Amino acid sequence: MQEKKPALAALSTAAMLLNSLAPVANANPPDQKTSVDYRYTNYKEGALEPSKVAEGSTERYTIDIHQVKVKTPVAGDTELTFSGQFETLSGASPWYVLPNADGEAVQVMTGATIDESRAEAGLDFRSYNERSESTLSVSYSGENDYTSFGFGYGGQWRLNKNTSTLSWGLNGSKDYVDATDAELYPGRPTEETKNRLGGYLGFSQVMTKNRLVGITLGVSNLEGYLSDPYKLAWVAGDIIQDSRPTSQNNVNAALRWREFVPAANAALHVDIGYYSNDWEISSGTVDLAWYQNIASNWQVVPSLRYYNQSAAVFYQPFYNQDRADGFYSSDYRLSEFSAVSARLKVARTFDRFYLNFLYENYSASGDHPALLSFDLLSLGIGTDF
Amino acid sequence: MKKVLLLILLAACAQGCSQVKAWERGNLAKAEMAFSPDPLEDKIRNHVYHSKEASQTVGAGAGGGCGCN
Repeated sequence: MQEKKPALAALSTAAMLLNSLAPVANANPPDQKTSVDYRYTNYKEGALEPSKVAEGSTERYTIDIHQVKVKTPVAGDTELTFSGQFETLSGASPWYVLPNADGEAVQVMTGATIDESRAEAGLDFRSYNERSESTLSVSYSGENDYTSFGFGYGGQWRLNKNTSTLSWGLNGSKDYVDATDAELYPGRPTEETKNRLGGYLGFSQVMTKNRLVGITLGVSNLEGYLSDPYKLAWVAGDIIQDSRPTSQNNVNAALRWREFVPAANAALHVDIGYYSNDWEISSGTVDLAWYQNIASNWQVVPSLRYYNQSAAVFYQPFYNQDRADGFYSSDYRLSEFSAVSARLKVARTFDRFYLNFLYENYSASGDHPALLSFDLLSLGIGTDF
Repeated sequence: MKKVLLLILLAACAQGCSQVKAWERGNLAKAEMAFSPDPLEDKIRNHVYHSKEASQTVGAGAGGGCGCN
């Protein structure tokens, strides 16, 4: 074996040192560690104004959510991630809308408090190479009246000395709808199905040593039972089942900008999204966040989100006459509205674990009498070893 | 919104993509510069928005449940 000359050996050592010190921005190689993350979230919807409720409770849903994620290395370039989620839900929900004596829309809520739960489990298998990676995902979600099986397969190619990344993905799900109390409420669906298939392409670029920008374009198609199994519509004095088209095509685009501000030791996040479907709903989202690092491993993250959507072509709060196409929905989620959400997160990193606390307040405005507001409190904790 | 997206993308490109050397990427590799610094938080928030707004997201995987309330 030929002995290296001292100068060459020194250069080689320096190069190796530089490579080992150079963080791979825009990449996230397996760290050969096992990590465990847990998050508890309490979601509570605000009560409706009594003047907007014709019948039923003004109190809405409260949901407690437990999430856990465990990531563990399988080999030097592969890792497995298990994620689980369990939710308990209780409260009343909007049922249908009717006109009051003045012709104004007022909400009828479900009479009885609903108590139910949902469990979700997912498994991701990730394989990483120097220039690319891919992830295969499977998931399951189960409620007493709704079951969903999902899959996803996505990947990345890193180009131009890791300054550019091309990403892609395919995902889909098969859902089964079997509404409760269908024997008591004729028209409620049983043994219905819904299929979803989607895909996306993304590109991100290191613009400067403090700026990373990415754009994603996605399409998806939904086929099957797309109505809400529990909602009703008031049509010229009759109450009928929520009825929507059995197909929906969606297009969306997202732009994500990350800017590190060295003078402030902080990072600015700008996320902008656009969405459109063939029910003539289009929406825009702007989400701004400021990640402020402060002394002793503390971080404070104030953020603000604005969302606006147009109404579905067949949506009305109530119908004074029949529609030729037979589609009826008075669901507030298909109405035109805008929403503002303010969040504050405080995080602390310790030697072996992290802790963070998040609060969010969301408030929607528009013409529907049951538009949503909610408060969300969340506590996250995790460690790796 | 589409125009805003295009304008911002053009603004980003107009400033050019300087050749950032590997050893200059320390700030880019910080956790807060990730597209998704806290995946569990993003998951729960996206789940809420997906259940309460009409927009569909394009994330990999599926699930999410009925959201019928």
